[in-house]
Amino acid sequence: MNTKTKSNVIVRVELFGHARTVAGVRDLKLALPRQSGVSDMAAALAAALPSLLSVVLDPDGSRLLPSYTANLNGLSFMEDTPIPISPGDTIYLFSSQAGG
Amino acid sequence: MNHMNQSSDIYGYHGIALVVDLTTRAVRREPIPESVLRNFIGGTGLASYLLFRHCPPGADPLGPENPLIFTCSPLVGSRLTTSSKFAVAAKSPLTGMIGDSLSSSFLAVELKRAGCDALIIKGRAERKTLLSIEDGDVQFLDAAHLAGLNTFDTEESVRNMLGRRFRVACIGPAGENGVRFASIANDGGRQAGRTGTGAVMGSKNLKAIAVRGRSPAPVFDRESLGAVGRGLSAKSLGPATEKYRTTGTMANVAVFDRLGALPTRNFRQSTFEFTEEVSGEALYEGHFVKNAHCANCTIGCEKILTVGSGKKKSTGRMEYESAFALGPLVGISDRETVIRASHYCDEMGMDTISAGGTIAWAMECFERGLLTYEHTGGLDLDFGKSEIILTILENISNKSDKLGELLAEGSRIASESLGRDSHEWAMHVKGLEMPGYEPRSLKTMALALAVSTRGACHNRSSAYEADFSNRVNRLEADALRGQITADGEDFSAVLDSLIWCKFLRKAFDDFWDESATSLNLITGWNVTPDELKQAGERINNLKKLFNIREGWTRADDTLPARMLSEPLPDGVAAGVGLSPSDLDMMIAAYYQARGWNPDGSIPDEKLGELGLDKLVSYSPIA
Repeated sequence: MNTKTKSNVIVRVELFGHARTVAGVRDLKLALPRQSGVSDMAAALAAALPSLLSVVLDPDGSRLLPSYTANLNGLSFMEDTPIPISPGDTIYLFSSQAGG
Repeated sequence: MNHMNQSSDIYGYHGIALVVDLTTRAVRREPIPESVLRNFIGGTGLASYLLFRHCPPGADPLGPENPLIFTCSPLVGSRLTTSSKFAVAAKSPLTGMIGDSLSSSFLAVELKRAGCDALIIKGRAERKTLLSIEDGDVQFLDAAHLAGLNTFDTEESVRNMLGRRFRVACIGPAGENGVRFASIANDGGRQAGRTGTGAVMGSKNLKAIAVRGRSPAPVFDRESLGAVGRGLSAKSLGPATEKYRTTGTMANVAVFDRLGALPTRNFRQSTFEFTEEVSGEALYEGHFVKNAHCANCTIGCEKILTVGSGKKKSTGRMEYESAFALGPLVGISDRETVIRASHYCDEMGMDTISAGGTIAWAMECFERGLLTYEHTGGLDLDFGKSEIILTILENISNKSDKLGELLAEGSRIASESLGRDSHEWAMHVKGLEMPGYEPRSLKTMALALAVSTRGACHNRSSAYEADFSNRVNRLEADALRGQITADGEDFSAVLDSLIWCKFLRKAFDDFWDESATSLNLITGWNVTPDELKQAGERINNLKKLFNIREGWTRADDTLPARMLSEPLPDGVAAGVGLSPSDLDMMIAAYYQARGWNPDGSIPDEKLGELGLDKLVSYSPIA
């Protein structure tokens, strides 16, 4: 888990597909700003799971690769624009290639 | 040897349909005008055109008059990645409307090299027959020795008999026995799965088709096409296909569960409490053997899984739809059973979605007392009872007991036969069982499933893409879904006619421009992206026209009653439903986007605009 600050909230991030296989964990907890965009989540994830660099995240950990998407609580997809994050929220990280 | 001549100086095609009558054993080469090829491209587009021309109105889907049509595409033989695909079409024995399905790999290449763009099979053979096609030379061989063999053994037996260069399309026991959702298998387990074309093949006493060819269609500009192909291959190994190259589509199981979109226990729930047991990740980690590729494919999406050992070992393909239909949909949490059931369907030659959907219907009917031990032969048909699944599948494919005979009809006809209110629990659209996308929590998909010409189909619109984005609120209906669905259908029609693999679709920087460029380099044409888009619209209108001719009415564009009366009970979409008025509103928006009349019929002006007006008055070709 990355450093918790006063303005951060703890969320659960669940990994799916190849991300889970590479990381070797099903889920983890991250501290994110109360207003977070997908890059905030990516940076926290890179710090916690460096094995995801260049696989799920950009090599510098600043963004998700286009092959992945992040969904907040199963209801909305995270984008660059920060959105409110609440304690106990769950972020699902899975392939951006829908369907099959 | 009777090498077929190309009909004219065209590139990318032969301009020939090979028409084989199993009743009379007559064979003829029917020219396909270049204008038809340009208007309908190939694949599902060309197959739809040929079906409209060759299928008499009102034909019995399992009668000799229903043609079974295989079509190649201009891209087959080009060596472009993922392009070795073919389409199969017939009037569907499940829906009584247009039935089409895609499959891929070496069979497509050999069929095209055999000197034709389409193979049209009519009539009914007197005895079980193996059709051998070598460079257009057709032989009708006795297939008595193949009777009852599964699809894998049939293919091996035929190739051992005729030579390993032959590629084989065949049916298993399910197709021979007239299971309405029987598939056609090729190249070691690939399946043209949906709409029951395997039952049509079986009804013709046609056990297998073996094809070999030495006459590739000429390519207009091979050198430039090579450069395009290299670029596309490179992109096919990028982020746009990552899922397919790693854990595959079966990774959808757990994701859909979290999004409240995983149909469970006959669509009573949208989450499955045992998801982790049958998730793609669990299947992959516990059973993955290797990836498999179709011919000329750089992606390699197929996940080969294995269970057991020795005589109990079972190895075969797995993807999301099979995992969903034989897992959560029937409440099964034992992943070994899911894998074995999926492999068994491939062996017997059955569509896994319709098999699972029909069994789920039976389980709900058993729970409600509509099916009794008398119907089931003493089987406890409970949701989640993994030990009975293989027995039921065996009884369906062989029609070996009363329950098997009933379920072999598919959920719609089975419910009509069982009567009472059992039809309320049959989860189908137009007779085709629902795929693994919960309509109530995926409203764009709800519309697409309701209006699809081939019934509950997820592949002819890719409408789920909008739902899995912030482009729409997937839990709420709105009129924007009409245009989104129509656009998705037109895109898919072109994709499925050229034919590119669906899994390549996101690798294009500009799908329309790159597709037009590839087509032009193959054919020497000057097709524009707009012309391709109109071809997509034309193909979808033609499919609708076929259905109208077969009796389609506005009432056919709907969803199962459960979708329109029961809110979802669980998951993030708990409490979300879909009202009949919301579905009607989206359907009206779709008809408007299509330029159709409010009752869903096609105005004469639209038929004229698309060049389909003359087709309406054509008499079927005998």
